[in-house]
Amino acid sequence: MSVKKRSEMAVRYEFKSYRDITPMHVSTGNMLYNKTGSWRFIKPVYEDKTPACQNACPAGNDIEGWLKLLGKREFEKAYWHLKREEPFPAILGRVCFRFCEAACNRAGLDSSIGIRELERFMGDQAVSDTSYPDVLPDNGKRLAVIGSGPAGMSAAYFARYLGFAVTIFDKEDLPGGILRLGIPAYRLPREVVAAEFDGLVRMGVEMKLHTEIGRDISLEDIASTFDYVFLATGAHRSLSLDMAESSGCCRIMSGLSLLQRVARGESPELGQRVVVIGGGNTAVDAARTAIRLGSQVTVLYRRSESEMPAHPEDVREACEEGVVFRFLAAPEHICLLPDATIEKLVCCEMTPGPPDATGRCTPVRKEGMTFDVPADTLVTAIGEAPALDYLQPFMPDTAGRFIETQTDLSVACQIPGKAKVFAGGDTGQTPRTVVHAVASGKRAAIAMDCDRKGLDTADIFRQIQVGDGNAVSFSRYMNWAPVNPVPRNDQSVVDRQKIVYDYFIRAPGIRKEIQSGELRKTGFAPYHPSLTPDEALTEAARCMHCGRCTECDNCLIFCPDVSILDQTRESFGYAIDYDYCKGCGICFTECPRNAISMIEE
Amino acid sequence: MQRKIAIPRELLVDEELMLPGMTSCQGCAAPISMKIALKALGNRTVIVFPACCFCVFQGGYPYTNLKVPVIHCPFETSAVVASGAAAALDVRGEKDTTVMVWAGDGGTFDIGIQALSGAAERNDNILFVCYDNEAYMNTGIQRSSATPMGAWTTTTPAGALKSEPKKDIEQIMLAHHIAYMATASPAYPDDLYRKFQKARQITGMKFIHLLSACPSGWRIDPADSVRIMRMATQSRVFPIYEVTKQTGAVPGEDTWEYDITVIPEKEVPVSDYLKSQGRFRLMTDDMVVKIQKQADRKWRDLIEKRDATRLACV
Repeated sequence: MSVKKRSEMAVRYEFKSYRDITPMHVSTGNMLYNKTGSWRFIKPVYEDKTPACQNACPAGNDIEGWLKLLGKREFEKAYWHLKREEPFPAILGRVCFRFCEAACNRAGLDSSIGIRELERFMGDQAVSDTSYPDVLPDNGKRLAVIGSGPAGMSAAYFARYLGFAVTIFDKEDLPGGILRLGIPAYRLPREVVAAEFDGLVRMGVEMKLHTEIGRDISLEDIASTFDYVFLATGAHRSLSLDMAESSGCCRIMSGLSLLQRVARGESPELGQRVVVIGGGNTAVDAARTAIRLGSQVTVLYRRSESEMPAHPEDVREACEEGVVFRFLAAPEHICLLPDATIEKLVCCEMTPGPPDATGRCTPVRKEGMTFDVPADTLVTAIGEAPALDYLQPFMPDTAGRFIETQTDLSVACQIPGKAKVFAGGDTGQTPRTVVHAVASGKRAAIAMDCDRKGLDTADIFRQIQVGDGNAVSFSRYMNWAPVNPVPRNDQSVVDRQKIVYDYFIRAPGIRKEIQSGELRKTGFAPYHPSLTPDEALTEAARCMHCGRCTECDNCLIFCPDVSILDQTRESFGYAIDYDYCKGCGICFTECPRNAISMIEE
Repeated sequence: MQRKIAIPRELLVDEELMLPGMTSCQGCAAPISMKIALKALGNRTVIVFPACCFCVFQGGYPYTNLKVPVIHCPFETSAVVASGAAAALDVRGEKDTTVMVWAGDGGTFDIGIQALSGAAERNDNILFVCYDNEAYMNTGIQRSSATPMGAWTTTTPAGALKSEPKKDIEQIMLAHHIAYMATASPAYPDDLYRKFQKARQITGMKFIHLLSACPSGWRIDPADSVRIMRMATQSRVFPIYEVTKQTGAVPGEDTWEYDITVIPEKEVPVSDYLKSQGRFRLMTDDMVVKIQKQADRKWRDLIEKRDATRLACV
């Protein structure tokens, strides 16, 4: 840093006698000798902090970073910056539940940035023949990923970056797991999933499809040929209703099996009236799938609407398509006809009871308040659990439960062989969303690399922690340069209290018109239009760049002590002349985005 | 997107006419105003300082921290010294030099007002800037006629808070039919910059009333001084406007054009502005109501005058 010392330009006088004083009093010296920096007890420093969106993202996506590059129209750079932390923008740009947008500080001014739409835009920009930059050379270790869902894909991607030789095993004919078999095509077109897999294959990831663990290959075989194993077999076992009548009735199916059958190209016979039981995303997806197959659909949920685990936007869109929701209602028993088809469902009204351990209230039956719901098909979507039969010989206590992991996602199990076992995605106890699965894949890949190098994983995770600890940063593990070349303080999160909203202009976000529910429900075509490049640039320009300097000059303008030195012409940002900075803190309070911190000297 | 402070970038990174090393308190707003004013006026500026904080902290003899000529003068003579300097420049034919008085509220509202009134009446070609920190801060926070109602000072202590409203210097100056009168605040630096640029191009008496936060006297955190000045405008306690004389075709038919140059997007109640400062801590609720009413009335008057101007222009 070439800061010219202004204190060296001080002109100072010492009067030895009255003769030195000029007859006319003219000042010819300056006060530069007076280093007012000595008054200071706290000093301002420029720091890159973690914006609220990145902090909220389970995968620690550096949203501000790629929005800044996108704003500069550097599409290619922005795309690769995005892929540093979140490898599948075309997928998550469609199905993510937008934890970032809920946290976006812009919502304190007008409305949050349409981050998911922008991410989708970035994902769709992907050029198919690009080679992956900065992939490390082979490190000689082999990783077997069991399951090609989002967690497995993510682990394969990051591990490949770290130089592992990766093989993905999946029992299905096509890869994708829940992305292909659980998420309906209207939300995630199949070719998008296929394109992301093409990318993985181009990176050098080997695919072994149609290979089921325990049937085609044993876990012991894998454990003896590979150095690491990542279990990402998801949660594909549906929980069933505790009702005696349900056995032997062909018109009762689980929500997941309905979604899987439709995804495989079947069109199951559902009849005129379909009743879906449950309030999660599977229930809503199943209901919307059933309505697309031409049935009338009622969803029964035993709690109230606000307690539904399903995403509110999906619920709203389901309503638009004609799905009827009945809250505070639970099935009592099923009345079957002699030919084992359903006649009707006897339900009971519920009332919110005392809260349970998770804080949600336990619904209680309203005695005598029963009512009938006519139904031809009953779809149960009351939850899914991991199917862990293949692991049971080595880990007996996993039966019907999830896989217990350490913080580094390693699993303590006794599989004969050399491999270290890790697990992630829906097999664990994390929330069951695609982005959480992607995050677990990233964690596991970094943990494996730490294990290979003999590093302390917990310590490394602390060093690369994003914000207050939801996620870890892959680019910091790789020591990739950030967008702003300034000191980082990634553990400091910039929330709404730290933003000076007075400096931002209100500008409504772009909300695209989507097809009407009537039109949507006629097929499985995706209906969310993508942003045009112009719209994407307009939306990206709304980003407030919380916690990251944009060289807006506010500090330069407001410093009362002329102690901010501009260096934007030679390099990035500003320098502070600590010879004179009195530490008043005006630059800190007037920084619109909290890119300055005051620290004790 | 951000509301960028519209000051030309080349000026921002150009050589500063004000040097660091001054002994102003932490968070003092006056140097911010001076820095931006000098960017607008350029180096062909003569500054006249009566007794005030700025004349002290910018350097005692034989030092000065401003790279433009500075004349120090007795408290009550600033306007007349400036008139003299302007006359001398006129004799020498230097048309492009601005003579600026930079006086505190004491040197404007109280001690300096007779010389100021004289210069204004003569319509001398000077720019008189009052940076108003609302008390005699340099001598240790004594009340001035610029001190707002309900404020604590050492001469209006607890139990005897100032009960009189602030003197309306803006109306006093307008009553002199001067060429240009404006209020400005360093919380809105681009507006301040533009007003000094405009004033520089106008011949005749110009008066700019600057709000200037004083962390020591206002009993605020130095870091908050700009924020609180912004609140002064958002709460309409200190509205930012300008009044420009439009010379009529016939002598005696001059008109004065009102323009409210900063209309804040966010409005805050007066009580928020007052509560943010220690000097108003002892204020009673009915005083807050009174100040709110005064602020509302002033704003209404301004809107009326601005609309009347617009109608006249159409």
